[in-house]
Amino acid sequence: MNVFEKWRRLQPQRGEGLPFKLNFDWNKGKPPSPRGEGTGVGRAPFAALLLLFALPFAYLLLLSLAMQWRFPLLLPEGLSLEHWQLAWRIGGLADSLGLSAVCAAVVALSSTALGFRMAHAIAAHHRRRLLVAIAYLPYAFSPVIYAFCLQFFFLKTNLAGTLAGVLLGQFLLVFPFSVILFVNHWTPRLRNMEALVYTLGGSAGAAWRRVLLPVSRPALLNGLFQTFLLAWFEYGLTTVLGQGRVPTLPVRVYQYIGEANPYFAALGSTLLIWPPLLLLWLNYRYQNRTHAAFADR
Amino acid sequence: MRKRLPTIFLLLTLLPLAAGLAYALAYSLGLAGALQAGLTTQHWQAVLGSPAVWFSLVLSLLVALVVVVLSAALALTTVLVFHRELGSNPLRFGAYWPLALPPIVAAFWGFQLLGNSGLLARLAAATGCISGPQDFVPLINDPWQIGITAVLTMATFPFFTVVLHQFYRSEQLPRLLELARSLGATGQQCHWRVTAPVLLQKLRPLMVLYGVFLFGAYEVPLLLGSQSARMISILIAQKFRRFDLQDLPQAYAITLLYAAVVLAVLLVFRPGRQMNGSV
Repeated sequence: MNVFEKWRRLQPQRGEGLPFKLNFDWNKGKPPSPRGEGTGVGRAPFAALLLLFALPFAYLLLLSLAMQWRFPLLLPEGLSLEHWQLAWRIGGLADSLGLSAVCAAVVALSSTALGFRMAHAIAAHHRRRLLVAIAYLPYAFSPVIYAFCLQFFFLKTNLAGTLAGVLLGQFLLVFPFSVILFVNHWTPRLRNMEALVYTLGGSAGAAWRRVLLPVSRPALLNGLFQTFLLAWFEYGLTTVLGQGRVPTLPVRVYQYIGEANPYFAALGSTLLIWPPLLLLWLNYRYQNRTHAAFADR
Repeated sequence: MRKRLPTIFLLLTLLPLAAGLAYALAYSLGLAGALQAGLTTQHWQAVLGSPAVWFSLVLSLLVALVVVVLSAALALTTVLVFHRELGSNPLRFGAYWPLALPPIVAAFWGFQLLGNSGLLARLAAATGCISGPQDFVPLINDPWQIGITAVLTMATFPFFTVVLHQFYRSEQLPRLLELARSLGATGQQCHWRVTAPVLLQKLRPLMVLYGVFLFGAYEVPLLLGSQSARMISILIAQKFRRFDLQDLPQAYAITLLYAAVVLAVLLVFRPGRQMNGSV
């Protein structure tokens, strides 16, 4: 058994966490054997499917660059950066982009850090199943309805319509997801490794610094990535608790749609979808490199 | 500190939700808020007797059910047909692209694709099927929720595909299929008696959880839904945002109805406990 195989065995065993494991573990498993995997239909239909998946990304970019795109033309009449320059100058898109990035980064960092630590405590708790079930409640609730439930308290504490209020609201939404994500990471094996540090005279700090955090780095990066996406995409809760005064990128996109300005809406959408795609790609590369490093040992 | 962590966890997860729902209950019973006039059930009677509320609840449940079933069927078909490509094709990264689409953008994309001057209408005009936007069949803001269902399915099925393909490998399906074939199973039998049951059984908890999410979907119905047939989150949001304060107690009552449905589904199906296929 190589090191990579050992690492895989440290992965979740118990069943209270997310009912799926989307850890972008791109290279797990061997290439399929022709006999064992049945019949594939070839590359061309698969490429056609991928083109369908890529269509919104290309279309929205094209629409944002279009000078005019009237019915029934299949392609824009011309391309220019006019909308980009205009939106950047007067539309406040740069501010919204920065605001969204800051919000998502703060929420992702705080919820990942606290969720990771909390999941460690919950995984060893005698009421683990109940606590994990509770984590599902806010996560399963529609964010916009959750925000309406919280609105009164945010108004009373003067948090409604402020950046701090939006950050807190998003954290309350993303943090339970982070706990659910990490609770299965704390397997008995990992806990035994921690116990071994204590047996050998190490302190709690040393256990975290020297063993738990290094071993958990891929899981932490994955958690950071997924929580960032959740906060980056958030619209319903932000619009209720922000009361229109915290114009993150999704709020701005909806505003442009409401103003019947498809070019600016497409521009905002492009800004909203391309950074996550870049992150997805970086995650892909990271997993590839990690896999290669493990395979080389 | 370590002993206090579960308490902090409850403070951050259960307390806000419980406080919000308790306030909603008090408001809907006339015990809180600007309009409080003592205990009354009139708002609940109005909500429970309103056909629009029940219609919204049933509509939301139906849309969620149809989207989940369609997405699961599409994802299963995709994995059955493209399992080899999803595992080894250099382009397989493309299968993950739709995960980068937030709901608000998916809704806008749906509007641009399905609208009567959208991409499909332009294609129909280019092929001579229609002469103008007015001839194109209404696919958005329609009473049958075709646009909402289509866009939610387009957003959900790629995610199901990625997860099903991970299950395909984690459940060692190639080995199971080899065993089935060595016992005399045909290709079709392998698909429908081995692959589909194993994958769908694994996917079931996620289907339930996604069904709950879709039941409360907001952005897509907000942009693509009709005014006459509203999904539950839109109905609640409209009640909260009206200028008439008399609507607020009803808005809170409908919120509690929504919460009851979500809690019931989570309690009955317990999606978090079924990861290994055991119910």
